Amino acid sequence: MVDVTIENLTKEFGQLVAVDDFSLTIEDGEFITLVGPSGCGKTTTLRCVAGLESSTSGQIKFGDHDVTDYPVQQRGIALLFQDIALYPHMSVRENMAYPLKLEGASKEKRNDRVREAAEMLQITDQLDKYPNELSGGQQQRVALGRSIVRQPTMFLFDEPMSDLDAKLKHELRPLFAEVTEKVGCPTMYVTHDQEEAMTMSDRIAVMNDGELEQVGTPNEVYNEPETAFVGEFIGRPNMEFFDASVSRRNGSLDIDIGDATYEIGANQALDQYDGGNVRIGIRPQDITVVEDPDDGLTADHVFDETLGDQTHSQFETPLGRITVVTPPQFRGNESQYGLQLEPDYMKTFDPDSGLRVD
Amino acid sequence: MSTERDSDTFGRSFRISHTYRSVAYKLGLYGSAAVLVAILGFPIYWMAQNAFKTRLGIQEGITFLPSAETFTVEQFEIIFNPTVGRYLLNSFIVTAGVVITVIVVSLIAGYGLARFDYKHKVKTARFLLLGYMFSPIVLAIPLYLIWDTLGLLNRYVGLILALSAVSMPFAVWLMWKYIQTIPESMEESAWVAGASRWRGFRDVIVPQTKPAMIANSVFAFAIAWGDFTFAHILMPDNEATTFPPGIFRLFHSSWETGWAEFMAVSLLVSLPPLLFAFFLQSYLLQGFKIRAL
Repeated sequence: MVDVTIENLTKEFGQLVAVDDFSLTIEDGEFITLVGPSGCGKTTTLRCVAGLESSTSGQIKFGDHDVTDYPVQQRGIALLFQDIALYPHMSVRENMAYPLKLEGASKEKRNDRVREAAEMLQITDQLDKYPNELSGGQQQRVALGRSIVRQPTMFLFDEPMSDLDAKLKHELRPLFAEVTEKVGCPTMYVTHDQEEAMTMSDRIAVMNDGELEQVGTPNEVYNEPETAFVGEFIGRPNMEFFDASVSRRNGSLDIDIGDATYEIGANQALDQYDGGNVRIGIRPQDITVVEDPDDGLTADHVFDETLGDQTHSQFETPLGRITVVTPPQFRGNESQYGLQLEPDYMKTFDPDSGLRVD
Repeated sequence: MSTERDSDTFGRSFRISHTYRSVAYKLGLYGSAAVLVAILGFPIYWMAQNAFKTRLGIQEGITFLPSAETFTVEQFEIIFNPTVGRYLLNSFIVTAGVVITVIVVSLIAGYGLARFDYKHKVKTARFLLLGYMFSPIVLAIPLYLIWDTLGLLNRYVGLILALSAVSMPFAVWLMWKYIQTIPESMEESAWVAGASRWRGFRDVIVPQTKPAMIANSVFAFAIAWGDFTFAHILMPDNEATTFPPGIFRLFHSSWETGWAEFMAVSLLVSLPPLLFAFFLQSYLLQGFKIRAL
């Protein structure tokens, strides 16, 4: 098995640039999630890698092998579709054996491989049923089984869980992880669900508007977002953003957010913004609510969403409505509070480009 | 005595009670069913009962069932008349040819329309339906001249082509719309597994179009089996023609053939479409069960 390298992949549909100069290497056995909002080009990227779509320019390599011009049939990949795509006129067994049948494998070999896969996926008692007799989760297991009866060079997932309910997702996530690890080839998983991306991946590639914003481990993209978009897209509740101004005082820099001032010491990266504006991003978990309205940002409490283990409280501030993660027992009762931002957790972004600058 | 329009304080009126409604509904339902059965069934009944009468029995006057003296099955011997046998054989060959041609061509054309994009696709598909604006006789006479030049007159292939062309617009249209309901990802998953486009079409698309294929074959069967105009014009030879024009010619010939024989042979000829539709109906429903995924 081999690495998969995508170099400068571009895909245009007429005037529309769906994927713009996309480069990424997926190492052997690595699980990479391509995540982004709908229409960001992630599915198009996957279809180009699969060979279902031809790329406008760029290269796709499996190991040293350039497969850019190979049709999908010759790439030897496995692909799980969003709508599952089981064949309704074939039994589960026939569905799973179909790739082997195309290969011309003997009947014994087909039966053995199907049984092996079915055991791994715990669907041995479903083999003689038809797809429409199965539940959504079982159908997805069969589809997974169909893709692993042959050793694939690469595993692709095209939002396979977006039509399933939350409980099933939780059930299938570890299964996907387990199966891809056992198969052991490079895996590219496409989703718009950042939680799926965070929980399943070795690395996450965040896409927006046809371009790759950042690639990194779940911790990296969560803790050190390189762009404001990544900061907002990864992590729930969404990162809060404030327009802030930078000023110099006694050789150290101050950041003014509304009526609150934060001293951040000397910072070369921010020097160029002296006297100008930046965007500050901070996670709702890193904002503290205090009783004194004059301490930090003055905020009027609006309402609480109780989650049991924590509360999401919404506040109206002069800088807009923001969400704060508060302790489980917190009840705001619509009075006035002060909000304190933790300077250590503030991320500074360029107000125009959205790039991280601190 | 209530006024014609009783209403409560909110202005709602209650004119017909539920009991009367359901009685009226049943009357309407069974009444219309009875009318339909009478209109559709009576000719068949009339044909059937006369088929079992002797020639004298028919000439005696109107009776609703053959009596003991007039009952006979000897009229069915006409089936062994070589000319009639020939007509029937021709009908079977032409009908089978039309059904097969329509299924094959509609599958390929429907798949092309559903899966490939080209300029003016929908316009060309609509243009197909123009064929239905003309009555068969308008089409058959120019066809006669063309077939004559091509040497296709009195040949099975000529009539099969003409009748297939008549069935085709509907069949292609149906197949196109039907294949559109099959998700493209099903084919794509076959390609991913290594299947060529042809193999994916054969293994994944064709089996799923069973209900549409059956609907098309019933339609094509009905057109081909019942066709008179095209067969009469494009198969001028007595040897070559199919049953409907054949029996018409027989009737007009000087042969000693009477009503009773016509009724007998007509009854027999009505059976194949009946059986064809009856047996395929159950397949049709099975097919729809599969699509319900």
